[in-house]
Amino acid sequence: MFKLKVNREEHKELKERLNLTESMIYDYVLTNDKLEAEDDKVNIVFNQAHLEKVTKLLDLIVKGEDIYVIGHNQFGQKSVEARNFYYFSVKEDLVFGILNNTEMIIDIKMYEIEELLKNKDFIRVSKNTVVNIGKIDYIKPALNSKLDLLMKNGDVVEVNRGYYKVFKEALKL
Amino acid sequence: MEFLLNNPGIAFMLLIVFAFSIIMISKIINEINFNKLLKFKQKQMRINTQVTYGGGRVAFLSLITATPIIIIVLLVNMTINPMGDLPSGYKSFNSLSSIESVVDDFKSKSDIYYFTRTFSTDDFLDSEIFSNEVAYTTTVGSSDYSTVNNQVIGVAEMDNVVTNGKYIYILNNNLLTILYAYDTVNDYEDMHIIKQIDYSSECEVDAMHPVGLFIDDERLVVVGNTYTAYGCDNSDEGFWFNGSSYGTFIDVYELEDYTLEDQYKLSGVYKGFRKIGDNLIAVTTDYMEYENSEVDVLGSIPNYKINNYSFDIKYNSIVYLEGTMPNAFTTFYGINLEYGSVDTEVILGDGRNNLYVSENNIYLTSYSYSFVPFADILNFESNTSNTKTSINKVSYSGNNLSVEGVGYVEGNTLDQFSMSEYEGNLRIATTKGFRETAQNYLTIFDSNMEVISVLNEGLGEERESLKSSTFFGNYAFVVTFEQTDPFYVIDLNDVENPVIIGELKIPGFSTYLQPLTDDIILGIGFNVDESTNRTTGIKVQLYDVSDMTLPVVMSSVEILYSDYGYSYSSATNNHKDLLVSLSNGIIAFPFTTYTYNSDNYTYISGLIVYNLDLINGLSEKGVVVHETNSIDDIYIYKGIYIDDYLYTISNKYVGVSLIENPDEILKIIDIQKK
Repeated sequence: MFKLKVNREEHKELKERLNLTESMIYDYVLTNDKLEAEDDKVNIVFNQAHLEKVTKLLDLIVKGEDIYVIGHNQFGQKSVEARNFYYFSVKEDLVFGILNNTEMIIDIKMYEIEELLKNKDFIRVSKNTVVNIGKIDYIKPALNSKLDLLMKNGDVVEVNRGYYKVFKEALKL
Repeated sequence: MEFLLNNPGIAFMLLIVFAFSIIMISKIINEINFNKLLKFKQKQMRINTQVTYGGGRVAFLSLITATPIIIIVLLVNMTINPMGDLPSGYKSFNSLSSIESVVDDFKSKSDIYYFTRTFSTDDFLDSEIFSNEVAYTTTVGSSDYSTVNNQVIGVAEMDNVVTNGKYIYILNNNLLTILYAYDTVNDYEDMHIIKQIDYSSECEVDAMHPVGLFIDDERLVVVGNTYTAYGCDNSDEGFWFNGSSYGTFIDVYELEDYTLEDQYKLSGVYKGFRKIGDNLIAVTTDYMEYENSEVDVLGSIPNYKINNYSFDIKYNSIVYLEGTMPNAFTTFYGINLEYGSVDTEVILGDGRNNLYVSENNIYLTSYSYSFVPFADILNFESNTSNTKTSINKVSYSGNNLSVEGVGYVEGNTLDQFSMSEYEGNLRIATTKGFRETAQNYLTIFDSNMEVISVLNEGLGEERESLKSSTFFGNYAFVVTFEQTDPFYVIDLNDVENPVIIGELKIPGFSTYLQPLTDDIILGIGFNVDESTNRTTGIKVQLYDVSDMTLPVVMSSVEILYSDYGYSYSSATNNHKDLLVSLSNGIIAFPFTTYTYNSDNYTYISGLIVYNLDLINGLSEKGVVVHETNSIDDIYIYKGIYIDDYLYTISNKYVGVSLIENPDEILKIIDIQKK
C-alpha cells in the first residue's frame, strides 16, 4: 500500500515512528524530499515536525472510518466500534459479539455483519463465526486442515476445513 | 541398511519415528508460516503485533520432534555397542559384512585356516520309552552317597552315572536307565529298573546322543549332541560318511515322574557343561560352514531353540578377539532351568582348548596368533610369528553372562586342572614347545586379567613338559615329566613372587592330582621303567605335603602290565571315574587289563578298590568283576557308593557289594535295553 522514500540512514527510524509497512505494489508514496514524488501515485511529502500528523493520516487511510455496531446485554444497549470485537458467533439463533471480557447480543444477521465488516479485516472462519484478524494472537494448525485461532482474550476459535484456504488468502492480502 | 535388516524391530521404530518427525516438522513449518503471515498482516493493519504465545510453543514442538529421534539414536547406539564398555582386546560387530571382513582379513594374513564341516539342525527327537513307571514315594534313600568328583565345590560337572542316594541314573550306549537302588528299609535288596529311555536312533537325522547327566532335588538333566553317524544309508545319495557333531541337546526331566519339562537345542558342538544350582552353563562351538571353498559366515551364526521356539544370535552381540582364528563361533549359554530363560555371549573364534569354571567365572582358552607384518606381501614361508594361549573370561551371576576380558600366556594348557581361581586371581600352568624346547610357566592374573606374575624358572628340567597340576588354596602342585617325575610344590601366598618351595623326583608321572586333605595329595598316573622310558603299569600314590618344602611319597600301589599286555584306567584321564571317599576310607577306579598269548587275548575289566588310610597309606581291598570267563567284553566304567554299599556299573550290569567286601557281589541286575 505504502512506499517510504527517504535516505537510507533515516529509513528504519522513520518507518518505525510511522508504524509503516511497505509493500511492492503501492498507491501512496511518503517522502521528505519532494523531488522523490511519483506522478501516478498519491504523494505525501512531510517533514520531521509533522510525523505525528502523518501517522494519524496513515491510520485513517488504512483503517478507514469507524463503524459502530449496536448490541445489548444485561447492562443495556451499547454502540461499540467494530474493531473492538474479537469475533462474532451464532449461538442458539442469536448473534453474539465477543469483546475482551464480555459479550453482546447483536441484532443483525451474521451475513450482514460479514458484509458490513469485510473491509475491516473481519473474516468468516466457519458457518457460525466471523473473526477479527487484528485480535488473533496465535495460529495453531491442527493435523486435519483445520486451524485453531488463539484470540488475544484467551478464547479459541476454530477455522473449519472449508474456510481454510480463504482464511490463508486473507492473511496474504 | 544391513544393520536395519538384521534388527527389524529397530527398523520399524525408526520408520515410525521418521514419519512422526516428517509430520511434526511440516506442522512446525506450517505454524511458523501462518504466524508470520498473521504478524505481517496485523502490521499492515497498523495494529500492535506483539505475539504473547508463539516462542515457547515452537520450542515445545521442536522438543517433541527431537525426543524420539534422540531416543532412537541412543537405542541404535546401545544395540550396536550392547556391551557398554567392551573389555579391551575385543572388537564388536554391527553387520554380517563386518564379521566376514574379519574372516577374510585373517585368511589373507595367515597361512593356516581350519575348516570343520557341520550341518544345521531342525526338529526335536522322539525318545522311545520302555518299562512301566512305578512310583516309590514312600521309601527314602540314603543321605550318604557319592557325588561327581567335581573340580570346584558347588560347580557340578556332568557324568554318565549319578545318584541321589535312592536312585541311580545311568547312561550307557544311548540308553538312560533309571534304577531304584537303595532305601533305608530294604537296603539294596529292592534294586530294580524303574524306567529306560532309549535314545538309540543312530541314523535318524537330529537324533540326540546323550553324553552326560546332572541331578538335583527337582530335575534330571540329560545333555547330549547330535551327529551324522558313519555308514547311514541315505537311500538316494548313497552313504553319508560323516561323523561330525553339529548340535547340542539339553533335556530337562521332572524328577517326580520323569516327564520331559523342557528341551533346549543349541546349534554348536558342545565344549562343556556346568551346573550351578538352577543354572546350567553350556559352551558350544559353531564351526564355519563352507560352500565351494568359501566361508559361509551367515549359515554359521549360532542359534538356539527352547521347546522348538527359535532364537537367533544378533550380529551386534558377537565379539572378536584380535589374533584368534575366526573359523567358528564360541557361544556361552547361561540357562535358567527353573524359568527357561537363556542368556548368551558369543565370541568369534574357536575355543578349542580347555574350559574351567570357578564359582563366579568361566575361563576358556584358545590360540592367539601374531603375524609378521607384510608377510603376505613379502611372501614369507610362514607368516605366523608367535602363538600364545588366550584366556577368555566370562563372568556369570545366576544365568546372566558378561564378557569380562582376556589374558595371554605363553604355551598351552593341559586340562581344566591347569587353571584355578582363588581370591579373584586366576592361576594357570602352561607348557610351551616340546622336547628340547619345552618350557613350563605358571602365570597369575588379577581379576582384570592383568598379569601379576610369571614363574618360569626351575619348573621342570630340560625337555620336561607339564603332566598334571592342581591348586589347593595358596599352593600349587605341579608334575612335569620326561624321564622322572618331579613333583613341585609352589607357594603362591605372595602372588607377585610365586616360589618353588618343594621338589620330589620319583620314577613315572601322575596325570591327575587331587588334594585329599591339607597334607595329602593323591596322584594317579603311570609307572615308568627308567632304562627303557616306557610305562610299566598304572600307579597310584599319596604325596605327603605336611612339610611343603619336603614332599614325600607316603604310599604307592601299582597295577603292573603283564609280560604280554597292558593295563588301562579311564581315571588317569577322567577325574570323574575316580571314586574317593575319605569317610569310607576308600579310593576306587575302573581298570582294564589285556594279556595276549599266541592266538588269543584275555580281557579283564573291573573296579579296583583300595583302602585309603591317611596314616598307613594305600592297600588293596578288592576287585569287582561282573562276569568271569565272559565271551563278551564286560567293561566296568563306574563305581559309586550309597550308604555301606558299592555299586558298580558296566555296559551290561549294575552290581552291588558291601564296601567292606567289594569282591562279593550281593545282587546284580541286567541293565541292557529291554
